[in-house]
Amino acid sequence: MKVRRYRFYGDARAFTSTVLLAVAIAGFVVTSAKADDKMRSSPPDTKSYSRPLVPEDLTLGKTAGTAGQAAGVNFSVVDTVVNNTNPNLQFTDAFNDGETSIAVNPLHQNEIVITAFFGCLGCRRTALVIKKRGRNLDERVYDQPATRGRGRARLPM
Amino acid sequence: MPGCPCDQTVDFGSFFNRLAGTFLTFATNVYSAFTANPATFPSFHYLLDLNGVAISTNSSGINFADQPWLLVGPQPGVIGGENVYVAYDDFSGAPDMHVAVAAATDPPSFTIDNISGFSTGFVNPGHRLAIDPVSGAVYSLFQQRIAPGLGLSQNINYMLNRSTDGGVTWGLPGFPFGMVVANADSDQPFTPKFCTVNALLGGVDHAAVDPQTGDVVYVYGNRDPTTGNNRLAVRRLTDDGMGGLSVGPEIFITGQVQAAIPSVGITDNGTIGVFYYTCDQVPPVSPFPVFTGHFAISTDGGATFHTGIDLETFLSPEVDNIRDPRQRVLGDYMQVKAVGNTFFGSFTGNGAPFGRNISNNDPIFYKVSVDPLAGIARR
Repeated sequence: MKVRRYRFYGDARAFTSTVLLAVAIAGFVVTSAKADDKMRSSPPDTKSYSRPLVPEDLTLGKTAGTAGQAAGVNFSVVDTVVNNTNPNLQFTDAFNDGETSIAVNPLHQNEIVITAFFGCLGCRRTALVIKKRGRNLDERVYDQPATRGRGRARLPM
Repeated sequence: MPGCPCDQTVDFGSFFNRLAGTFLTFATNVYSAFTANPATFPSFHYLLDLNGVAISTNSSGINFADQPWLLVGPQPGVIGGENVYVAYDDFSGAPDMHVAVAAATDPPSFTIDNISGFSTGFVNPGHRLAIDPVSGAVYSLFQQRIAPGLGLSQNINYMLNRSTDGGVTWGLPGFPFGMVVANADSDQPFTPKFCTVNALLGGVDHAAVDPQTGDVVYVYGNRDPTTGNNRLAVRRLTDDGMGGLSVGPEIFITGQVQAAIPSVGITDNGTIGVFYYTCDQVPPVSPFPVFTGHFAISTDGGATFHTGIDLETFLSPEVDNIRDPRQRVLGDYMQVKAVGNTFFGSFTGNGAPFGRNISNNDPIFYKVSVDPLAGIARR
């Protein structure tokens, strides 16, 4: 694999947010001043969105499946709550599970971590750790990581 | 953590063999940590002060930080060394785009925290990172709202900046705070909400680096001025031979659909995969809004997206709450990552089509591998 070398741009500098800045981008000026808080993504939407099924959930809803193949593409799509070593989870879980993040261990590609919003105030579940074992995904649910750690770390709220 | 869950992202390093995670608190500050074994009892290691209290990742914007985005990548110039990069927004400023950097040691100590650019308000910055897995160059991308767009949309500059020295300095030739990759209108963040139930408070932008060429593939939202559809487009940025980047032509990933929340990854053999949602129906056509999670594939460097997978079509578990402009049944972002020649992704989807007996959103996992010879030959 070719290793590239970049020319370093010597004039690049770091600035602090207290400095007034003018950036010429097609005549557009950006200044550093207090931003509009309404554009922050926080606070999150922590509502639990869950309801009984309606017929359209099944007539319109569909998935690509757990073992799909088409035009040289192999794929699988699974619900980590349904395809789970805890067979009861799909009957008890009511978290909204929004805004997912995923990490895959390059050294052990069956070690996959997915985090999501478990939409309840103060709920403790934080992440799904998935290790594929056979046909199932082994979910390990663990505690809010911020409250524990080396030396019993405390996290300011 | 009262008031949370809040924004969180995770990543593994290639060499360090630890899971790194960053978490936004309700207050709102950013904390990042490593764990050696996420499959067992939690053991996240934070850098602590003398009182045993975790030290925040954000040295700026105390109580004004938002939407941290964490990636682990090579430490430039250090074979086998890795850095942890955490991008975040500082809303005490423009908002200011910050990238904090720690060497991949356990616990991580964020000794660098510099500004990579500025957003402008009116939209969420959608601050994201992309890392060249070969050179270790780090890219910071974000949105700048320039003016009102057509209809109720916003006119947005999609920005890109780069650091080639591990986040110490940022800049592209002539653009110390980032260059404009594209300009387009986009319906965000509140009016209207995406598919009536999801405010777009994470922007409509993402990028990835081609491991073979070092090119940057930048995906962004582009509202069609005629139809009003928010399509997704991509531009490929290549080395211009003078230390900068040349911006390639705009290629549309989607047709005339309402699309949002894109995430892009590129495999070792150069295959590009883009996740995104489309809004297929809204009430009263269906009782609840209908989404599809798609995965579009290009094996010709992004010139065409010849193959697509409809990962899941599902009904929203909720209808429009007109009293809540910040309603988000899906969230602000989803992620796809490429490891080797395989894509791994997750998104929020309804469990009903998978057999659940209630309508409830779950984390959906997908894995895609592509035979590069199946599609059009790579450029």
